Amino acid sequence: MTGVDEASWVGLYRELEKPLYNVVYRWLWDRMESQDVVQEAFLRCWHARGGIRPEGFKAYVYRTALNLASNRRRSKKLWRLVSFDALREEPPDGNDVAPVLSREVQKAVDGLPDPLKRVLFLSELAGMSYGEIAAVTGVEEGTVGSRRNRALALLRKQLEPREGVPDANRA
Amino acid sequence: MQTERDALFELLEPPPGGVERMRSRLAEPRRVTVGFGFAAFGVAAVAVLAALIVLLPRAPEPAAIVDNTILAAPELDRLLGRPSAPVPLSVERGDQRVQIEELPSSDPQVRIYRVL
Repeated sequence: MTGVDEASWVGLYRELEKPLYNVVYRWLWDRMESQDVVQEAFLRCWHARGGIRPEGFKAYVYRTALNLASNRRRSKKLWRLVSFDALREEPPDGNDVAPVLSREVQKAVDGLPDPLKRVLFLSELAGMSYGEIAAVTGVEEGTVGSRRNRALALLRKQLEPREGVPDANRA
Repeated sequence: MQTERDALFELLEPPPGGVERMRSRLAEPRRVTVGFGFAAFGVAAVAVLAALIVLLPRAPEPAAIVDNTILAAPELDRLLGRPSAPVPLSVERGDQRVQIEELPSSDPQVRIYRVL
């Protein structure tokens, strides 16, 4: 993507911001930080654009954003541990105008193993096909399907007395 | 009524102004950021180094560089301004040592010998 200019890059950002933001938000539960991660991913891709093929761009930027989100989440957990903030209840993002998920649902999502969570939200929020998810995660399409089903089963088990989660048999 | 499932998979709107912020960040000069892992490693390395410096036993004081017996050598008398002790004189002719006899001298700085 060597020849792409800033205006086109902003166009790509405009196109992918919302789904990417939504996936990252399920890692960080913070609106501004999630948007910052999305922008940081686009910036990194911008600086590395010489080595990115146009057909692989979407997978590249999603992979970068997910890795950044995972790292930030890990850092936040570590800092909370060091500063003994873990003893306090983490307040939800107060600026969120969107429906705030209950702590139980957030905890259930946070408790999912990272590879399962990636597949689930890339499928449900980014609307990616199994092939596209395979390109982001680097696993076979069949594995994508089984991970998605396992993620949904785990969520359902966690939230059983509560509301349902999507049908695991969706193609 | 909205269910938890709807909320979990509902697409939320990102905070406004994202495109403008993206545009201005693209125009900024590239920042070099140090990752958390690198920073943590640096802090840990400094802490370990400091602990090693504090806890490791100190090396013993170095031995006296100059041995006093060396300083007492008569060859250093002139160098150190000490009065010279009388040194027995020997004279050789060819491979053979010859006998000498010291003669009286009126000057204490001058010694006179005669080869026998």
